[in-house]
Amino acid sequence: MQFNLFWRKSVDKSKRFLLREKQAVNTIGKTPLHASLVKNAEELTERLGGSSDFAACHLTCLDRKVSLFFLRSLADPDRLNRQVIVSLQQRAGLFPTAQASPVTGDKEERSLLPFIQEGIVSASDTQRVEDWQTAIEQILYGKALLLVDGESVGLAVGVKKENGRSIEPPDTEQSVIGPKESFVETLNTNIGLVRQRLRDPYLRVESVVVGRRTKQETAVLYLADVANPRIVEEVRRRLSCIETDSLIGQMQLQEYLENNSFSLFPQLRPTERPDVTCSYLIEGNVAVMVEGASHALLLPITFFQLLETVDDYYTSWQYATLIRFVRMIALFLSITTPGLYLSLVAYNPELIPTRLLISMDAARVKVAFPFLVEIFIMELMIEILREAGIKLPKPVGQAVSIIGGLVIGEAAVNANLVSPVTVVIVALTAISSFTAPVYYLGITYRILRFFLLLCSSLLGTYGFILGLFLIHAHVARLVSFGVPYLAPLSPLRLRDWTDMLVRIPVKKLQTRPAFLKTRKPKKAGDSPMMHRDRRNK
Amino acid sequence: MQGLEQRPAISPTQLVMFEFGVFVGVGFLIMPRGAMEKAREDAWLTVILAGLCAIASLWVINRVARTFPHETVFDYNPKLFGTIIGSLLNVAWGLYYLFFTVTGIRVMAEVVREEMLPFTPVEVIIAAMLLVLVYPAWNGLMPIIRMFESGLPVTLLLMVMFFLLAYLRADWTELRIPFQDGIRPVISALPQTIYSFLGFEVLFLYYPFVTRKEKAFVSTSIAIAAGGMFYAFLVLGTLVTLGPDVTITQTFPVVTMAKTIELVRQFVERAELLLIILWLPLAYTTHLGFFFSSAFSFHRTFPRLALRWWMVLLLPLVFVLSLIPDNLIAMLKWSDKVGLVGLFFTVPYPLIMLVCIVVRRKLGHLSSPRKDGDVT
Amino acid sequence: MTKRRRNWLAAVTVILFIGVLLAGCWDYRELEKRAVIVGIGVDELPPATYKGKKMRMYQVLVQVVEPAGAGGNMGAGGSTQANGRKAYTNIVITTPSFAEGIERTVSLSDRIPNLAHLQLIGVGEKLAKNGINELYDFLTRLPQMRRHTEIIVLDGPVSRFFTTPSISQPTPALHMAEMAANVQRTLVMPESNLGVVSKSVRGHIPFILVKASLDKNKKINMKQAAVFDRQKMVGTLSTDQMQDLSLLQNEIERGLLSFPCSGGKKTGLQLLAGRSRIEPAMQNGRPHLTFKVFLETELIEYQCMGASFSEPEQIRKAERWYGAMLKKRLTATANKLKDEFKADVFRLTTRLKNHPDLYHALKRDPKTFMEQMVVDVNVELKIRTIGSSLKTPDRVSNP
Repeated sequence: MQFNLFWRKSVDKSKRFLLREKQAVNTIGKTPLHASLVKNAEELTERLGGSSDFAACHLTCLDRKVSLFFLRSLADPDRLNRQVIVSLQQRAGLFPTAQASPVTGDKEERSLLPFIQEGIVSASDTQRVEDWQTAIEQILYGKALLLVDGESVGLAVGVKKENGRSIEPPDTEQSVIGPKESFVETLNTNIGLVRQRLRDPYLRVESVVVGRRTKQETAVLYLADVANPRIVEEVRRRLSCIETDSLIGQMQLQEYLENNSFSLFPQLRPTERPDVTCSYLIEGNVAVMVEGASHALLLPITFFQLLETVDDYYTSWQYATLIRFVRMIALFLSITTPGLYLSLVAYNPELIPTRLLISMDAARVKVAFPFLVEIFIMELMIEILREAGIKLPKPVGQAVSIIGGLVIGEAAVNANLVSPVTVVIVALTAISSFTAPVYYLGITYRILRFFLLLCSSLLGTYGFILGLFLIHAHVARLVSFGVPYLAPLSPLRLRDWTDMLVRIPVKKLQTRPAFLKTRKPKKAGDSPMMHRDRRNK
Repeated sequence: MQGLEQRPAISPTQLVMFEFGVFVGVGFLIMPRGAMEKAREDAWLTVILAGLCAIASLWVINRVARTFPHETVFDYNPKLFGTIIGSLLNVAWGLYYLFFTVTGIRVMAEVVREEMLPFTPVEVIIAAMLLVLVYPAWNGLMPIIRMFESGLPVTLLLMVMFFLLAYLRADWTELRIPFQDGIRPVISALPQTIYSFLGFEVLFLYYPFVTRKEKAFVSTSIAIAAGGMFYAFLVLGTLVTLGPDVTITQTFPVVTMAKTIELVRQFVERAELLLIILWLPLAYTTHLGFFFSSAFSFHRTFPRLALRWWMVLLLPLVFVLSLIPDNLIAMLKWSDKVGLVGLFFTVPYPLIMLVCIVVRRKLGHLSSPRKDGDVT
Repeated sequence: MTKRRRNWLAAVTVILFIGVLLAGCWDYRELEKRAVIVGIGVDELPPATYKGKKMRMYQVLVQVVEPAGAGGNMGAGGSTQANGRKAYTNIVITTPSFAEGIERTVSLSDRIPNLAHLQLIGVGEKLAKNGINELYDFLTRLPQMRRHTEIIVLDGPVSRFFTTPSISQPTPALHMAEMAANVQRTLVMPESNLGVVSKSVRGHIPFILVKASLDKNKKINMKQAAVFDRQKMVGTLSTDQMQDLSLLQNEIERGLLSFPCSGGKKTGLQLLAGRSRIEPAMQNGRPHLTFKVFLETELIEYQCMGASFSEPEQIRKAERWYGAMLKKRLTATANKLKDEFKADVFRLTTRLKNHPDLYHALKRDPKTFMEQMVVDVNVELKIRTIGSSLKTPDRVSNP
């Protein structure tokens, strides 16, 4: 096909992915369990042996030898006792003879396991295990493996100790008025937090195990009747393509999922708020969560969605609109100000009004360094202060950043190291970059700022403009899961602008973003109230 | 890159932006001089007339392209004119766009050097621009179009607002009731003015990627009309701020017009720097459009070499060619010649093609339009 | 294959980038290395021999801002505030060429001249009378030059103007520029900047510049205007003449019209708005121009006999009265100016564009056109407000 010439590279890449998908990820192999309990126990000890927290517990139930294998560090001893061991021991005496046993027939044919699963173990989470790979995985997940002598099928009983922290207010996405809940590190709790808000039978939770060594459970959440199936499919595919030993946090997952992982711009939105996750799911986005990370990843995401914060939806729409504009301006300022300042002052002072120029000139008479050095000194100082502020304990950190900022700035001016205008400029950019709603975006701002500074130090205003072109070109070529990054602006869809720069009243926000190509482009349809209004007209 | 977007698909809005971005660029800084030299106070009428001519030519181009809805001009050139002439024409297309890029970049570099970086060598200005050009072109057509779409409206809006400031200092007595010297001066300034509209013929190249082909003509006409209005606005601006006598003596009349702007006194000195800043995106989109079209033409003619290779090959060529003329005036002579070629590609060429199509159809080489050429 | 290609490209890009990086920064110049020129004063010296040839000699005065003395101590302590250093340096050069003059400031200063912030060009009267064509060419060729840089004619030694101390502005040039701008805005002085000059020069139209003079207290005073024809100064206009001319030229901004009444007393009418149109016609082969002036005014001073404006009739009477007076005055001025200069000081050339016969006649031979022209003025004057008092107090001396 003639169009492939543009996209040859991408086609290659996807083929490679598909190939990889077919390769088996496992190392243990799906060999079945032995029939003999002794042999099974030996093999298990061999595979998991050496760990001091690997424990086994041997019981007798209905004349048959039953063994439990689990990891002491993961299993909850209380639950194990109550739900498995005690029940097994109680039943042991009830049917003393084989004849009275509900399981009749020859000893070879008799199968105790279904009986145990259905009648004895009182845990809700049980699963039949037939091969070694699953067996060991289940134990590593914190389940207890129950094996019966003479049967080549085991039973995994969920007795995991739930030792997550409690739900706390969010750190990076604070809201003044909105709910104060954030995700924790336990996947189940997190999914629960979403389910609590979204009681929809169409909310699907699919899980994929990622990480060869860590075997983390990764959940894909979406609304089955809304989300674009191609996006969901793509997420599934990319998740299954991940070949790694471990995913330490959501950042690793993010990098694996992104289209362009060299880009500075996040193409997924990490959020630690369940309410944000819910609203995105309702819009038709997909959320990915991973065990051990307190952030959910929302996708696909566009540039303008990264500039939205929760508070936009917890305040009046007029204020939300105003503050979005402020945020856009802050974004622009924080990226451009130092570069623009340098290019104006060192290359094109013609643009500066004469009076201002004279006073700036006067302020700089005693400063020995060139502008570029001056700006770099101040920027470096700000970065050091910021880093120190994060690393230090909270009360000290604040003191350091405030005192450091004030004192060093003032002292630097007095010592004629920098000119006062530079201090103002650098402070302005530093403060502007804190307005980024997504933490990673703030980092992006900082790097881009240095990039533009470099551009304008080379070619002045011209270089500065060229630098902006490069950034623009880069943003324009980004694609997040098939959605162009600048979506409602390009491809232009005026309908989606209702929630881009402005936020119109929620009542009017009746449609889902068109760029997501959802199955149901309209939300909930018209509410009965609206119908009445229209009829009255 | 695997995802929902597989092949370039240009929506009607994107087509408007693309056309506009490609043809509005470097030329309009100089255009008022050419128009005013002959048409004097009626120059703005010439501009509007030129826009109408462009739309007429566009209609013919659209007619031709509709016959081959899934092919670019390079695919049906050989079909219509035979392999040899067709290939030669294809190469001519590529060279035409190449030289368009060259003249555009050189003129831009001269403006930048004169107004922004007086001591920086032109080579550096050109090289920096070329590097920035290649980056968005690297990934094909869609990033370019998205860039146009997201950047141009803002730029244009700011630019119009900026020039409205110049209108504040206008002297409306410079205007005159049209056609006082008859219609001849208006017509005689036409060819010079049409040069500034050249670039709309990229529709030949990207027609197969347009999604709603029945709207292609309307979209491109909107682009031309918007550009024509913008040009007329500028010519009128130079007329009322500078007057025809000054305009025809200025190297860049539009820049001189910007120099009359006095933003709230002592707020910004030298407003024309702001103009250059606002104009650079427009120039950039033009270079980008032409450069990519050039690479695209050569790639379609010689498909053995990938598009990116062609870009890499053309880049040093553009650099070297743009440095050959000694000064701006020599460069403007080049751009006049390129304009002539452009006139050929927009006026006689589509008409010849139309005739060829009719003849071939009569001979039975082409299927009838009802069967094949239905719009998608 | 693909990998190798990418490496190669990356290498090229890096090399190019490093090339740009190493070779870059041609125009990088620190602020303190730029000499900000805010004013240029030019006057003509007697022709002299320069490099073996007898040439027109100019005295070029370049005013450069000295930041150390220019106040604006934005931080570094208040100690440098009153160090008594001057905020500017005047560099005076005698040269036959302006470009060379500006260029020679490099050898006299430790900074590189930057003309982008030029606010004022002062032209000495002698130079103005001998023709400013060479200065004009230099100024308009310069890309750095803005078109709203003020150009004024200086009546007196140029260096005196550029050393007159100013209280509000850092340098005398800025002071004069600000003053010229104010004069043009509040009085009825014409626009007097580079844009106007270049437009008029190109269109072969006479133009008018603000003229500054020094009074007895060595204060700068801008109350006159200089008329230029063919780039030479041909005459001077007083404030009253200038005002009348502005009314005819349709350059009506704020201004005060004063009319005499009995006993040397005056009536002041503040201009609120107004316009002036021309109704040209060819009558008996002579151009006949009717200026239709329509003014809206505000009564702000009334020194005459006790009068009351409580009835509309009275206001209408005053309107008629002053309208007739103004008409007389304008007609007199117009006739005087056209006879004195025999040039198109009324800016008819642009305003007659829609009347081809007159336009071409004027273009062909402005002198005869002006000699033959018959001027007629119609004034319609309206008093829109009379302030907050209806009556003038009765005069004690005249019961």
